[in-house]
Amino acid sequence: MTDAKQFEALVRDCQDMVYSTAMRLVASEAEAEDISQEVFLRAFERFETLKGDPRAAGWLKTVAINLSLNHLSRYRARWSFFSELFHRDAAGGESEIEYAAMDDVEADMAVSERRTMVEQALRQLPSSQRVPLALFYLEGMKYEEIAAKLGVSLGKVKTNIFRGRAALRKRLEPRWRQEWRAGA
Amino acid sequence: MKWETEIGRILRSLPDLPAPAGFLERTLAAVERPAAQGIQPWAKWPAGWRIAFVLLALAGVAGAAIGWKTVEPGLLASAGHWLAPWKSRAASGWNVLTGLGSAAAAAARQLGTGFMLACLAAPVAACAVCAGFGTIFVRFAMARPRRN
Repeated sequence: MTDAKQFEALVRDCQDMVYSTAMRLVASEAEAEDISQEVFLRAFERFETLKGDPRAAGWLKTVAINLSLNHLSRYRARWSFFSELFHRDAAGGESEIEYAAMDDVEADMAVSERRTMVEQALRQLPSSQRVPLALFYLEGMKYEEIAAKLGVSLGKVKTNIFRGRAALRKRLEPRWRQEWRAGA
Repeated sequence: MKWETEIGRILRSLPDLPAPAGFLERTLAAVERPAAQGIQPWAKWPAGWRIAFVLLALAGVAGAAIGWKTVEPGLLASAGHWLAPWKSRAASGWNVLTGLGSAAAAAARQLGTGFMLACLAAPVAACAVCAGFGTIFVRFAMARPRRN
């Protein structure tokens, strides 16, 4: 297979993974597509070393994460101070969390529907919560790794993940209950 | 089951999102025309292009040198004529600046170094105080009240 064909195969195989990674971090379709394309342009520049390497997908994911974080810090840093302040109410706080049984809800709702809802709710979170949440759950990174990657303290990472999860619950719980009642 | 646990479970199991339609084609097209995007460094240009570029640059320099030799005498005279009023204005401005500098130096000698430093430090301190109070105000005003 020629280099061009091999590269096309790499893009075809990894485009969804790269796009998903960028999309879940930057929460913008246009920006995620630009970042994904940049990832593959960089891959093309060093295709001689990536060609046939089983770690190519991992390299692409790492570059996608780094470019997405660079993008966020470059274009959105100026808003982070105020966005964190203004999103506190929307995100919900520690004191509002209650734990309730949801076995019935789980039984009645289709998994794909719940995934779609979670995906949509994730996009609506402020980047200060969405990014650590995505890195923790979707990329499988540890708290310490996330703190190092984002250049923030370990405590802040844990707090933002906690708040992000609580905010997701706040957004999802009423809809899930509604679906459950409709299905009952 | 806790809601947060379930949310975490779903997050972990989210499948990849499909890349936008036509992404593959657009990416391959972008890869095939890097020169058109102007992102190719000179070292990566084809050899023919590099040689042509060097020849063109040499021709440009030679042309500029010959042109300069041709127009130099008349050009310098007309430039001097055109710059004369600006020169006198610049000289006046420079005199004003040196006068102000001398006055400042004399004042500094009379008032003492400590006083002058205090005069310089005062506005800096005022800015720092304003920024500090502003930050505290925004933090307190925007903070969500804690609930017990």
